[in-house]
Amino acid sequence: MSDNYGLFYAILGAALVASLGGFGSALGVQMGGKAAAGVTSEKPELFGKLLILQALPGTQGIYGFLIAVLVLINCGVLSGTPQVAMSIDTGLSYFAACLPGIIVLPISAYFQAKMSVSSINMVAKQPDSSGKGITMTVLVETYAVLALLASILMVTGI
Amino acid sequence: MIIPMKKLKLVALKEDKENLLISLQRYGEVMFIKHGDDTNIDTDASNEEIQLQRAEKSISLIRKYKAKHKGFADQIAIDYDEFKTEDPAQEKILATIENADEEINNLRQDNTALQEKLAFYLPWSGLDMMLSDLYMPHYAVIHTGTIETRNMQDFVDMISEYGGEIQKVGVFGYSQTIVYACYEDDDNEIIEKSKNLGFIEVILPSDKKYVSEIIIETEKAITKNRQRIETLELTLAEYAKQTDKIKLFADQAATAIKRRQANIQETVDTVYLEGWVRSDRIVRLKKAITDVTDVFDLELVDPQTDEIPPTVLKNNKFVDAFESVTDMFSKPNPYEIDPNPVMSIWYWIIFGMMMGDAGYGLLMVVVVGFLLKKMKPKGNMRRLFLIIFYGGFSTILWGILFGSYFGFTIFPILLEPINEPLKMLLVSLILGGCHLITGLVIKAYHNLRDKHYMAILSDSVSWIVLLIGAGLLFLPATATVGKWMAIAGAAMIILFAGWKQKNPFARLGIGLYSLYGATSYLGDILSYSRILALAMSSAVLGMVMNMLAKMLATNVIGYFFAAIVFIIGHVFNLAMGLLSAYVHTSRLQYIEFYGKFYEGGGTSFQPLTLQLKHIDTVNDNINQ
Repeated sequence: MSDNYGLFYAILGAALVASLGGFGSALGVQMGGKAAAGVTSEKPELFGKLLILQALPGTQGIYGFLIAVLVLINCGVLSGTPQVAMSIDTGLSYFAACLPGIIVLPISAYFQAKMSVSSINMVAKQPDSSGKGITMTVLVETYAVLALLASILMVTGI
Repeated sequence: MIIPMKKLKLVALKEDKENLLISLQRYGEVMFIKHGDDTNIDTDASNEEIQLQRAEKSISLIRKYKAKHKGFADQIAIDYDEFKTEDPAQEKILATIENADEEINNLRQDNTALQEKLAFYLPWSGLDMMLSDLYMPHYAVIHTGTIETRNMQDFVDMISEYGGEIQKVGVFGYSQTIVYACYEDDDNEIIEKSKNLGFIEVILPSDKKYVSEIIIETEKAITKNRQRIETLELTLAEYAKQTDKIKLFADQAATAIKRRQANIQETVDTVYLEGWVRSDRIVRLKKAITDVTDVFDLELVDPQTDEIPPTVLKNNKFVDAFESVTDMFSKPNPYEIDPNPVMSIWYWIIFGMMMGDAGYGLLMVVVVGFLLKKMKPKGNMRRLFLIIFYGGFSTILWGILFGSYFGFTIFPILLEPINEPLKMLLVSLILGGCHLITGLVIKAYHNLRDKHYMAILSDSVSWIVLLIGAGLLFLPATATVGKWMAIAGAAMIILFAGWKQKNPFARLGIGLYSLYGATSYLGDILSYSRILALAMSSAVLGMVMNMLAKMLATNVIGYFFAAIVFIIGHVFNLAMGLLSAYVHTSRLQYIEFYGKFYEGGGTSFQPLTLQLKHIDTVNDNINQ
């Protein structure tokens, strides 16, 4: 086996961060959707407000995808000239750069979804408080944004 | 800006009450104040509520008979005179619709029963005797029923043994309908045996008719009912053309309900009204009263300190749209300055930066502009559309600065977010710093107005100096200036934050504790990194869509699919981007910006006014 299979680690990182981000968001949007569907059956006029709340945990999937694409760009995979001779050090560095995303994205999506469900229930009782519900739910996303930022800074710095 | 409110106290003659209310409602300038639960006041509006329910029900009944509209619904606009006048035909129209609907329902039920009857008799249509004859014979018994076809032969044999007669009548699923006759004496034995063969007795009601006659009669009855239903549906379709009229009934009833529920105190001869009015609309208010009567006593007073009037905002068209963002958080209370003019500009800038693509901006302006013109949405929906419409221009500007056009990069002027994330991060954070400083300046303005001069120094100036100083630290050229500014700012905080305290140690303690608030400022500024995150995710997604389309575009069919991927991909990205930008820009206003100065907690101004749910506009010469 050649010593230069660093590209594998880089792609492994990209694959994991895209998958786990997507997994977290799918789970989260589903949780929010179930709660929203329940409320919509009683109060269809709230659909618009509930849809926003349901969609909030969906961003983690996009963030994960974003990190993956950045890694792929940097490794030349997207431009059709993959760096097949990448050293293990470099490859593992890319993998490490994906870690904030890999760890934080799915977890924050799950917890944001819990928050989104609570906000949906709140909006069901007090439709006027949807702005407050959205704000409280978005607070959780801050940490997904920070993780994304950490990953972006690391990936572009390598 | 926030319009100052006046408290209205009006005494008028009781005989003018109804006309006065109608006029006040027409002008829509007074929000009545509720005086606890005064049971003496008659606010019973049950008659009007019944009328409203009937009209709403009629609207939904005739909706399905309405000719399908192409495109967007027409606007309903009527004159006030028409709105005011009660249509004498209202009762008749509503009753006709209700009766037609009830009759249709009854006829449908009737037809269901008739269909069941038909299904029951059809297998017996071949019976060539009158039904009453089945019960006629002496010394013999006639039975009717079904038997499975495979047992038929055994059954025929069995009946023949007893010397009975048997006749096949028709087919009923896997069974035959049959009629047999036997001697009365053998009856019990045969019943026993036929049970074993699976014979199921069907009793045909006695009637002096043939089955075929009954079937024809039933079919005729069904056809007649259907024709009647069609006639009734035509009637409803005729009324469906007058839907606008019935919608008017509903809005009239809703308007009357509000009027009935108005909280008004009465004596034997007079009525007393109390409510809030806008101080800039006093002339209109007086007009509303003098239109009705000259006999009244009007007093307008400023609100007492313990009273909180509703908040009325008056802003230009641009700022007005962004009021909905603040309203979702909390309305400004009447004693602070309206944050919307400043907030709207920041919202506009940050929103566009998060979208950051000139192509998307153009789409937002064109598509939403078209929808605004065609759909004519009302209320907060319209404001949301306007935010996206205005935001489109900001998006175009930022898109040109980033050189981003539908995910393609063409000559970036400022920077290219995908390739220069650090630079973009810096721009985001600097913008965030400016945003926060704006908030601190507004706070200083509040304190200036309230004459808390020390608070201006300790809460605003100190932090502004510290923030700018900390920012300058990062530039080598200004690092020294930055250092001293940061130190000066921190010193100001320590010295002045406890300005209310007399005890110097307590004052110093509060000062040091306040400096600890610097961590929250750090968090606030870092929070603006989400601008980078969102701008980048929308740029990268756009780029990926282009790449996918390019991969497909190899031959003629490929170009076709490439176009589909390109369009769907970018529409998806635009939609997701809009949602994120809307939500995250709002958050930056609520938490970071409003956290610095905003109090909120105001209530909305809901004057007694025409209730227009179905009708879009009432043209009235008083509004010109």
